[in-house]
Order: sequence, then C-alpha cells, then structure tokens
Amino acid sequence: MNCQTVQNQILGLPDPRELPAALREHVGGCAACQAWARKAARLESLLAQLPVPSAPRQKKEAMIGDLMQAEPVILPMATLATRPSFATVTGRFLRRNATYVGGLAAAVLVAIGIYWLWPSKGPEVVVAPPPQKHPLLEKMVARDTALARANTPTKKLETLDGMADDLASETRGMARIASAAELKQMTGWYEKVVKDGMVKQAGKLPLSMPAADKAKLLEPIAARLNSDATEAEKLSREVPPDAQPALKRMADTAREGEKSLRAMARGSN
Amino acid sequence: MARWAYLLIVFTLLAAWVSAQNPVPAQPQLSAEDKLRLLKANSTLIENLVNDGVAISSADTAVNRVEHCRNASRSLVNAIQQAATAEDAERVAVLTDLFRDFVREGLLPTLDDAKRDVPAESPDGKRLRDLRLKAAGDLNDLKKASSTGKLSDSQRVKDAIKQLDEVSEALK
Repeated sequence: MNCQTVQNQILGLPDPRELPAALREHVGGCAACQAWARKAARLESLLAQLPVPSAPRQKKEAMIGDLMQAEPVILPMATLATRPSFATVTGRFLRRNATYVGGLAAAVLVAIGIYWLWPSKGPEVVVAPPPQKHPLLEKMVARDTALARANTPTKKLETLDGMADDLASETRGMARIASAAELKQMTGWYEKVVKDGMVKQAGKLPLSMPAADKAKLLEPIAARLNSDATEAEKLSREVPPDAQPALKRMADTAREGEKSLRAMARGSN
Repeated sequence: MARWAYLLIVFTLLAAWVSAQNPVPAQPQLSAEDKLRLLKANSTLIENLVNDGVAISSADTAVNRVEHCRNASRSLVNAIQQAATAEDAERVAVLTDLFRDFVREGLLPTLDDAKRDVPAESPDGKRLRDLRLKAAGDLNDLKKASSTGKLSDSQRVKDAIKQLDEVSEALK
C-alpha cells in the first residue's frame, strides 16, 4: 500500500481520528502519512466545533404540520419550464409567416439577380493626385512664422538655427537623388541662413549679456554646426562625384559658422 | 432574448477593441521621385522664403518686419497664382493652407504689434497702412486666381478659400 492510497483512504473514513488497523500499520511507520492523518483528524475536530444556527421555531412547526397533513409526504418534484430553443422559435415564426418570409426571400433573390446582370462600366479607376505636401516647404513657412514672432536676438538665433538644421538635413537626404545644380541651390540656402542669418544675429546679441549666458546659447549651436560639417564631409565621400562639391561647400559653411560662433562665445569677436 | 443582447454587446466591444489595436496609418513617405518633383516645383518659393526669413530676422524696425512678412506672404501668393494658371487644384489648396497659416500666425500679429508701436500719422504709420492694403490685395489676388477655370469646381480649393474668411476679416 503506497502513501497516496493510504492518504485517500484516510480522507474516505467516516472519522479519520479512528484509523483502522490496516491503515494504522502503515501510518505508524510513515512520517508523511502520520502528518496527513493528524491534519485530517484536526479538520474533523474543527468541523465538529462549527456552530450550527438554530432553526426558527415556526419552521419546525410548519414542517410538523406538513408531515401531519393528509396528502402524500413525497410530492412530485416541480420541473422548470423549458425555454424553447432558437431553432424552435425560428421554425414557429417561419411557419406562421411563411407567405411573407417567402415573398421577402424572393424579392431579395430578384434584386441580387438584377444587380448581377445589370450592365456595368467596370470598376472606376480613381487616380490619386500626386502628393503636393512638401515637408521642407512646410518647415520653411513655419520657420518664417516663428521669425515673424521672434522679438529677441536669442529667439531669432534659435529659429535660424532650426532653419539651418532643416536645410542641412534635407540636403543630405537629397544628396543621392538631386542633380548637382539642385544640391548647389540647396547649399546656397543653407549658406544664406548660416552666414546672413545666424552669424549676424549672434553678433547682435546685447553687449550687456553675461559671457556665461552667451556661451550657453552659442556653444550648442556651434556644436550643431560642427555636426552638420562632419556629416556633410562624410557624405561627400559616399555620393557621386558631381554631388560632392555642394556637400563640401556646405561643410565649409558650417565650419566657418561654427568658428565665428565659438569666437563670439569666447568673447573674442 | 437577453442572451442575444449580451452576445451583441460583447462582440461589439470586441470589435472596437480589435480596431483600437491597429495603429493609425502613418503619413505615407514620399518616394524619391515625389521628393525631386516637389523640390523642383517649390525651389523658387523656398528660396524666397529663406531670403524673406533671414530678412525678417534682420529687420530693425517693426514696420520693416511687417514689410518682410508681407514679402513672404506675397511669395506664397505668386506660387498659388502659378499653380492656378496650371489648374493644379491640389497644389493651390495646399499652398493656400500655408498662406493662411503664415498670415494668421505671422503677418497679422506683426501688423498688430507695429500698429500699437507706430503713431498712425507718422510716415511709418502711413507705410504700415499701405502694407496692410497690399496684404489685403494679395488675398484678393489669391481668391481671384483660385476661382477661375476648373478650380472653381474643386471642392478642395473651395474649402481652402473658405478657410481664408477669418484672415480676410482681420485684414480689413
């Protein structure tokens, strides 16, 4: 007899506190089954201690009354009314409204047939217009709007920096697909913003501006220009030869801008 | 009966939940061909906007700033007129939206700022009134160009022009 059998039999006992001899032999030599028997015995004791609520007096009298009445004590069990199934309901509905349902089905079939057989011109081919939303143009309009509202050299400088960043990023993106002339034109825009915009605006920063504040403003912009220069130089080594001059020019513009801004940040210009 | 109603509700909620799992379709990326086409179409306008932007940043007076802003808005009107001549309704509508944004957010506030700072009877005050008139004239040019030929039938253009009512009113 293994432990699982013994433990199942303990659970099946009417009172696990009194083990029969057959089980006691195994339990005496098995620690696990001993623990199991103890737990079962404890559970039995605890169940016996559970309070049982007393029945209301009227209930007892009513039950005695029921037993004493003339009718049979055992009454036929009440059965729940069965709910008709969906199929039954549907079937009943169809039988009752057979004429209408048949007519409706025939009408639907006729309509489908007419639709099917009606001469059609074939699917209309709608040609979507080519996209006209140009992200770079939208950015330039937004930058001009921001510049119109910028009322300090600092805000103007930051907006121009954003504009230069947009142009540099777009130029790099177009480096492999645009013609040399187009890249040259884009580099010209970048140059305009850096030289005529950023460097000039940095020069207009108020003299009263603390050197630390000036450096805090100009150094990150100079660092971004440095990044433009590095990326343009790197890209110029990867693009076709006719695209290289524009990128080199952009790198030179960025380096010059960086140099000017760093000089201003140090207060030497 | 109630069982069918519950089932319907459960399936409706399930369908709503499944729909919510699908991300909103992203804006389609432009192909290299479209990028090039748009660069060619917009290069003059972008060049003007870059020059106008730098000029706006360099403007030393409020009236000068208004003048450069008006130049930028005129650059947009010129491009819209060209698109209208080509009867390119979609381009007219797109550029008109940009024009409206720039006038509403850039030109009009700049005009209002300058009006506050500049005495009305001064030479700058007169310049400012002229600039406002010119901006209103630009708007009329735009509307006139957009109401010719096939463009007058384009709902997209009509909607874009309708959106200009607000700035038309402000420029009066």
